[in-house]
Amino acid sequence: MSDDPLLSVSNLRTEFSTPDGPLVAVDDVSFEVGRGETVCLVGESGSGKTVTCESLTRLVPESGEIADGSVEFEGSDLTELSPSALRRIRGDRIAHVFQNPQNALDPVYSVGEQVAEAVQYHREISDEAARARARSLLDRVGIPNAAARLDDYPHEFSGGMRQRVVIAIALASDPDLLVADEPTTALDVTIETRILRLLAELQAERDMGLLFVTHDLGVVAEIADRVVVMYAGKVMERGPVENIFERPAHPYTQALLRCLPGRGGPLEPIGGSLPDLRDPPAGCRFHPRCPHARAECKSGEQPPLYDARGRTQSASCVFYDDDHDASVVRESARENGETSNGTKSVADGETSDEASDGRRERR
Amino acid sequence: MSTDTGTGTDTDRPEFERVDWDDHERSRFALRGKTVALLVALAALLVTYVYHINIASLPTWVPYVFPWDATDIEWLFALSLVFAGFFVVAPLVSNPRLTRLYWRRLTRSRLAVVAFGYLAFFVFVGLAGPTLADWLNLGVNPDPRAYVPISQPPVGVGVDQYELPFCAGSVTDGQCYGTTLHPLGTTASGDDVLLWLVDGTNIALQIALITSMLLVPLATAVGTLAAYFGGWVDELLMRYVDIQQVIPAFFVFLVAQYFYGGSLFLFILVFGLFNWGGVARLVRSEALQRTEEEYVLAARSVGSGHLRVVTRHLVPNVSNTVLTAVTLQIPTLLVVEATLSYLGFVPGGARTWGNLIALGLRGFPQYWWVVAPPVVVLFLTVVAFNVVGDALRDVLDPRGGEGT
Amino acid sequence: MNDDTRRDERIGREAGENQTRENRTGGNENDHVPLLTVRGLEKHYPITEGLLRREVGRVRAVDGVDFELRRGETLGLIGESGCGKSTAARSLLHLDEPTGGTVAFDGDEVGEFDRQRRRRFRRRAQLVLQNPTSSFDPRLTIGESVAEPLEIHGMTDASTRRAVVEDTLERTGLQASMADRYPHELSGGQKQRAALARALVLDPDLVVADEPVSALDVSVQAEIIALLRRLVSTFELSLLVISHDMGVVRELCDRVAVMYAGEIVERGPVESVFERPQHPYTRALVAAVPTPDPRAEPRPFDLHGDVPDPAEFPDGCRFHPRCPAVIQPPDADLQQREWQRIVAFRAAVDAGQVDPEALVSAVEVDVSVDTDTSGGIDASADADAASDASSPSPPPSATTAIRAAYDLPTLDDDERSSALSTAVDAVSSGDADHASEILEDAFPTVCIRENPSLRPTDLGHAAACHLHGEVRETETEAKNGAGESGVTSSDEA
Repeated sequence: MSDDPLLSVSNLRTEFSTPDGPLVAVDDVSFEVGRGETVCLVGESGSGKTVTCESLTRLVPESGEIADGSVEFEGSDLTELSPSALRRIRGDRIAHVFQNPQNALDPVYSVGEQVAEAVQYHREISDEAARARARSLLDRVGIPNAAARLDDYPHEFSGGMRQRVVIAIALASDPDLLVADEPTTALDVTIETRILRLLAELQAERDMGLLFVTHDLGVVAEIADRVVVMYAGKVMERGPVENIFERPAHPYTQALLRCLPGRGGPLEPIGGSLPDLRDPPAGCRFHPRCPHARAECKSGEQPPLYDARGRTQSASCVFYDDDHDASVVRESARENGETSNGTKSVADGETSDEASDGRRERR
Repeated sequence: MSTDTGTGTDTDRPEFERVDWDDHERSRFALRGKTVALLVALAALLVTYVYHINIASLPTWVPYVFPWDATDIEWLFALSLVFAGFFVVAPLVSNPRLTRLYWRRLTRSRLAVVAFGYLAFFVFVGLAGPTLADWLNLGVNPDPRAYVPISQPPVGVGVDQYELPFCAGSVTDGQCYGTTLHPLGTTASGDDVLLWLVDGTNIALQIALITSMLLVPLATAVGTLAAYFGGWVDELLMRYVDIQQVIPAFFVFLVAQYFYGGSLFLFILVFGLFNWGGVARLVRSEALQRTEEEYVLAARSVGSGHLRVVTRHLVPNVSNTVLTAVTLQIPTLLVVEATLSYLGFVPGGARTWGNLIALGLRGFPQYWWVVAPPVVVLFLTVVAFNVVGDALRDVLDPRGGEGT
Repeated sequence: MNDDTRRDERIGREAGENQTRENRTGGNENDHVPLLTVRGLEKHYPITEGLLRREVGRVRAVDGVDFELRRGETLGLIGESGCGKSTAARSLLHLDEPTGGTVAFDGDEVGEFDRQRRRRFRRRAQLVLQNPTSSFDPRLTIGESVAEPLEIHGMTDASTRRAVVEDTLERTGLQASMADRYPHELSGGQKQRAALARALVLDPDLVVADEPVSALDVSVQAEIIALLRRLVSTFELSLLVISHDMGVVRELCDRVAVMYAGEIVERGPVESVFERPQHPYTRALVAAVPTPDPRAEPRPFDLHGDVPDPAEFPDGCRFHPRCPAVIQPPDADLQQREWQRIVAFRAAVDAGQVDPEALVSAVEVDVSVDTDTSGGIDASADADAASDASSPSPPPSATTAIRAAYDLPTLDDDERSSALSTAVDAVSSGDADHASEILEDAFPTVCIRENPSLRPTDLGHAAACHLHGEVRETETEAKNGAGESGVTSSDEA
């Protein structure tokens, strides 16, 4: 983690007004994204991950409102900026890629025109130069024969190719931060892998920050440096990707990993159902489904993020405050690590510094 | 009927793997209670009708218990009321939970509630108004020797007494004031304006319900069948709709009235039978989307026939489109009717709003009170139907979230 | 949590009661006959033109698919979107009448069923669909939807229907009171449970599940998968799972068939196919699945291009334009990378996709880009595609443009080198057919000549690839090539 993060979200709270009263979609969410770093926001539907992304540059729909918190981007608070100042940042310094490439492109303009338009939106250059740059952008995102396809229309591209075009448009401004909201969910695995590789390459090449939203833990393992796990609008756990997978601290993260097919062990469904955000449970949002829940989990506020393993991994779980025995929760994490990783036992081999901190702590 | 063949278990509860399907395979569909009730109601109506038209030739021991001499339109109206009862009112009553949901969605807009209230009043007056007026002796002078009250002003309005042949109300300072006997005044031929309005409302409701009764099944059937079967069925039906659209019902009516003479019956028939093309198109495009939904495939995969898929899944799911479209169609019809009345294509005998306006305009602006009430009522009705139609679109949307 | 345990007990109790299922249709005597036998299944859609609907082409969505499904067995059908797997599911259930091939259910051909037997088939074979939201009629309560199959198949008594529905809902882990809810009042997972209840309520022998969990959240997915497994074992269902998700298939299935471009390219036990894939496509597919292990080595993955358009499949093996292991002519000794480019070029020429004019104008744009220094991205761009075209001075000719666009190599083999040049010339002058012939003569390969059929491989399970079968002599070369280009088989793992 760098000292001076590119993006720093603190205590973000976004509310929606519904006919049945306010709905807090994102509640007290904090995280940072550094330059050249990939942070994954993971969560199931209703976890607030998408709204978090939209809140960054105030793209939340009409009925939503950022009620509290700040979004620091290179020293300025985006929640305070005037709409016009924000527009200069949105799409220019911070670019978005959304889930569905079908809707992100306008069917009546050719792909070349759309990329060139994005280029010219951010920089005053001639049509010729914009078109040339559009070509090189399309080339860069791996559209074969980019030059010959500039005049093709979106419907002439496959889903994967369209998503590449969308990425090219996002890159047109040379953004510092790319916010990608489930960009590969609608795509086949073979295409997904190619898009993920592409994003990783582009990010390394440009030292971009990448905030990647997904529900797919496999994708997280593939690209993340750090992970923010969300549940019902709250951050449950934050930490480096290795720790999250090998030593998940929060019972929710542990349960989520056990749900993952293809990890070798038997699937263990979490049981219960996602909470209704209009009437979230008191205390820890996860307590109704948590095997370790105690009386104190069931009342009051969501616990703060306690250091779970060193300073880099923190979990919003009372077991990690000083008065509790964190090993109760960790034990199950260890089981999880063993059963699911089978023979690998990565945890005891080469671990990151933070992880060995954690181990010392435990023993 | 016993279906549970399982014995010797701790429970007699039917379980799916104990159902002996060979037993059931032979059984056919039972008619559902609702269908039976509808058929009974229709049969009863038919018997009454036959009884009524043949009353003269019936043997003398059959009593004449039906003093109401109904017109053709009124028979059709009765039929449409039966349908409206079964397809609109009955589902709402039998499913109070859904009704409450609709009501909650409707009340989100105050305007829609007001418009809905107005339409409820409109329907009430349309149904019960004439009978009620009769019963109250509305607009009838109890004194049989009274003059025909020509061009009397409404209550609270004074007119120079010398402009009127005589004053039925009171005269103050040379001004003739309207009488409470004719609260909205009277026409140049001495007809009570309020009574005419009430009768006009009755006719407007008849127009609305009967044309809907003709238009809804036609548009729904054509739209859903074209969408569901596609191919040449679609081609054939939609080309017919094209042709029908090219020749507006308005012109069909003009031509038909030349041969058969203009009447309200003809108007309703022509606009009910030749004016559904637009609605059918809307239904088709909606049904096309519904056909793609997985529940249609799911229904087919458990063995539903085409007819069942269309009637049980497709039609109910396009019903919001149909109802909305029809609700928006009705005000157009009322305006067209008024126009035709004004142009003199609907015989003056019919006590429609349009004829009242036509009549009143002859004495306009001097006798403005004849024109103003029907114009206001027509305007309000048109606006109310439009507002409610727009609201229905959201209210009836089956996917429009918001649980209980 | 309580619900869960109750549900488990309930399902557990069922397990002991399987004896009651003996009077099921079919009976035990023909256990040797697979429940479902699909032979050469085809579903072609005509592409028509004009008023008279003259057929101008065919979309071959499913093009000759064979498999069997035994009683109590679960088979996965996987592939990328557009490979025809959902169409296969629908046409084998005769929801879309197949245009060719046969489907035998319990030994009898479904296509020849009369009305009544078709009805019985509809009862015994059920379909579960992907999207729990759209698979329920929003105007019906869950109970009405689940009861509909009972009604259709002649259960006339409403209270019996209601009782069966409530019982079935409970056995899929829902409360009986859910019967009165409307679909929009249920969560995705609950709806999918109800969808399973609707499929089960007729006590089927076969359930075809089209992407049963892909619209659900991870934790809900796990629940539904666990439920499906329990139901399959409790009720001895044969289950056909259509999915693009290999994790799901691995969890649910005994055997798996991999589909590509309307055909099955590999088929066998799940373990064997996923651990030791024999078809280059399966290998790529397996390699594409992200492993939930952040320390895993980056997976070697090199599958370019898209699934071909089912209206015009490439000749020969349908995977050859994307295949990293296309077999070289016996006497050729090309670098696998060079060989692949030539194959890709051949595929483009055969498909008539090479447009010299567009390529020339593209190169012109290239040149102008080189003079434009403003773009921050350009330094990194152009690295691969246009290496020779970027020499600025001479106006680009069609031949150089084509060579550049397809990155064609200069070959050591003189004869082949000149053949390639002639072909490029032919293409640039617009004679693609001639070019196609030249290339076919100079670079013959069995992969473009013949579409391989599904054959047993050394490992026992079947794959449709020329690498397995008669063409053994060139196998080694191709395998080397495959390794070089990055697709490794995971035999060692």
